[in-house]
Amino acid sequence: MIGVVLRTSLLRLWHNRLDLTLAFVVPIIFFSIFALIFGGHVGRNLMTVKLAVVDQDRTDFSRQIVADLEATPGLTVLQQAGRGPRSGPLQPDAARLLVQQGQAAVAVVLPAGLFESVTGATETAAVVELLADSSEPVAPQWITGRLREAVMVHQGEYLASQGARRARAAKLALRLARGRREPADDSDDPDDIEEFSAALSSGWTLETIDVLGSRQTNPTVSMYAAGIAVLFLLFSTTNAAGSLLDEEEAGTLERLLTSQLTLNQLLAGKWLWTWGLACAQTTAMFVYAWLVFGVNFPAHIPGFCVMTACTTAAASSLALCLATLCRTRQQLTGVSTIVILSMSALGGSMVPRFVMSESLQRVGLFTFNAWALDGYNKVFWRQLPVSALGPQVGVLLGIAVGFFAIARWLSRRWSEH
Amino acid sequence: MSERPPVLAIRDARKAFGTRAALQGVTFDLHPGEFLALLGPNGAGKTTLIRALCGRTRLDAGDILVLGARAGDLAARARLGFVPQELALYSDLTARENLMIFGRLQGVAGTQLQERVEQALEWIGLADRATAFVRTFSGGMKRRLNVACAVLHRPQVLLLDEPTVGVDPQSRARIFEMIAELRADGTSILLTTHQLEDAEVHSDRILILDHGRIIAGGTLSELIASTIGPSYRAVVRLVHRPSTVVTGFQETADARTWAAAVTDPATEVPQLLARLTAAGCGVDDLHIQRPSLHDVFLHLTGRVLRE
Repeated sequence: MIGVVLRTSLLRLWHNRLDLTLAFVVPIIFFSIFALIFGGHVGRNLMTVKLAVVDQDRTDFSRQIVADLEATPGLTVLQQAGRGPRSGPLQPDAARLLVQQGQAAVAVVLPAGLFESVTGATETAAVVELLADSSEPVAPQWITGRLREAVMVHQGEYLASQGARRARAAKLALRLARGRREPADDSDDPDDIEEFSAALSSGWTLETIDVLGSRQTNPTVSMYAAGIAVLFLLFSTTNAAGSLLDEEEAGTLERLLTSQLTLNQLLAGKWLWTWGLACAQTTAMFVYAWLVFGVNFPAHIPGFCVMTACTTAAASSLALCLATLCRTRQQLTGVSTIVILSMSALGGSMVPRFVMSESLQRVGLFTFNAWALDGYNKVFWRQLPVSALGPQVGVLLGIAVGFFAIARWLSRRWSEH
Repeated sequence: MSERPPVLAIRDARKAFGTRAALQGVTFDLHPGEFLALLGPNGAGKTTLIRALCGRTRLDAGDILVLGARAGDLAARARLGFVPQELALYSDLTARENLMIFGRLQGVAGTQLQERVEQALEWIGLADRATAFVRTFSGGMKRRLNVACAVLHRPQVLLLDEPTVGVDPQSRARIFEMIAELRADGTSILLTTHQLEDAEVHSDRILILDHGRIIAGGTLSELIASTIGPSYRAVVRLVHRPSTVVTGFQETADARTWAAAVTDPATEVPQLLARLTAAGCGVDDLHIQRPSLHDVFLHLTGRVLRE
């Protein structure tokens, strides 16, 4: 008898091609996405970060450091502020703003007098500032290492140029700076290594400043609240829009369309309901995050309202589009699972986009999630004004209008035919 | 039937789905106050025609006018009530909520809507279950509610697509009482059904649709006269299977059951029985059958199964 149960299940799966496909395709899709995100692409592509550099030292020494940073594969160095005739060297405030706005992952300020400090011409240690966005924890660490290496290499080269007595020290310094990549030399004296290591460490210090998170009451939660909210927003809107298919199956859709109700009115009504429900859900989630986890919700209500209105509008249209694309609720469940989880994985709801390769980050821009999360991060993390949400609002409203138009086109099967 | 213009005028309605012709020039009228039954085997084109009447199917050719308005126009929809074959109700809402929604969608509002909803609940015998969820209702209760949801706007024409499928005789009788009440108020009725007895008992006129064409139409008497004729049918079940056929009888599918056509049962049946006795055939049972719509329907549409 157990065999009959097994055979029945097998036959039903075989006859339901969608379920059969989903059973094998969904795991493969997600394996592929996460393999692309984590499978060796992280280390190689983290180098594709933007670094703002303020060179206040303006010596050959500082220029060599900047040149080293520029020569680092995948690292884009920004030194100019503005464009065209108004452009000029970056200033610390402008560099800080670039990081706050997310246009640079990290900014480095090489202070005036750096060269004199590292060469011992003055006794005061220069402070190199590294302005970082703590929502992206990996890039600052990597740039810190790269910066230390560059300073020490050129410090060592300078020492070497100071004569034979210090040549040996320079050699040791270079070896230290390059992570002891050269073969060990029997003539190396451990005391010399310690002496010159101390010499290289002195003269300058590196101070990392979190330009964003330090102002947040609960920075990590405020960032991930948006990610989770957008992910579940897509599920809830798809479920709500799926009521169209329920109505078709129950026969009420036919009855509605023989009443005074038109198809346009029906779709508009469904969209408004889905949108309203999604707005309420998102608000409830952020209010909960405020009350329980201390996310500073009251301070960002205008930005939250703009982003939530646009995000839920786009999600509602996408959900309506999926519902009109599918013929049954079962199909909708399968298709929406693939679409939503894929978009959420690529768009940053599951894994922050900054750990993805540059190409995957570009692909992520084709997802609804990426724009929504960028907008929420601007509001809650970067604390930017509503006026800074222009690109996100524009794209999300475009998605909303576009998908609603597609949904209307796909719904022709319910109109007179 | 009436000097007044028809409430439904269907003229040369044609519709094909790919190579399959669903309607091939259907023409008929529904007159004011008339109860018209539309019969046909499965696949005859009834559903397509009903959908076209509701404006849900666009004809390839021909016209359908509902009280002068093109089918599907808002003016036509406002005058038309449609009771679908499926129980098109929100099962997770109460009876009253369903009535309020469908009434509102038909343009009834305010206190008028509330009054009509309460009247409808009384009318369908669900006043005491007004706040119960539809999913808890019996099949008959759902069917009655299904009808009520279609008439809150007081339509002048009511289309009923198999309104009594799957209900017990009591609910079926109540639904036809409700239809009769609507008709008494002046509503014209178009009924599609496979329950030939319902059409025979309740309708003024019957149309038989097959292969997308109206193949017969008229009152039951007219249909009988124009098809199988007015003869009665005497059916006898014999005690034993006879060796020879007695004059006047025909064998049926069952060898022990014979049938004979009779015009005057009172005089002809005794003669037939006498012949059987003379032939040594004992009679176990005897039925005199009036010609029925069932006979007409099978005569016109045949006995081949339709899919």
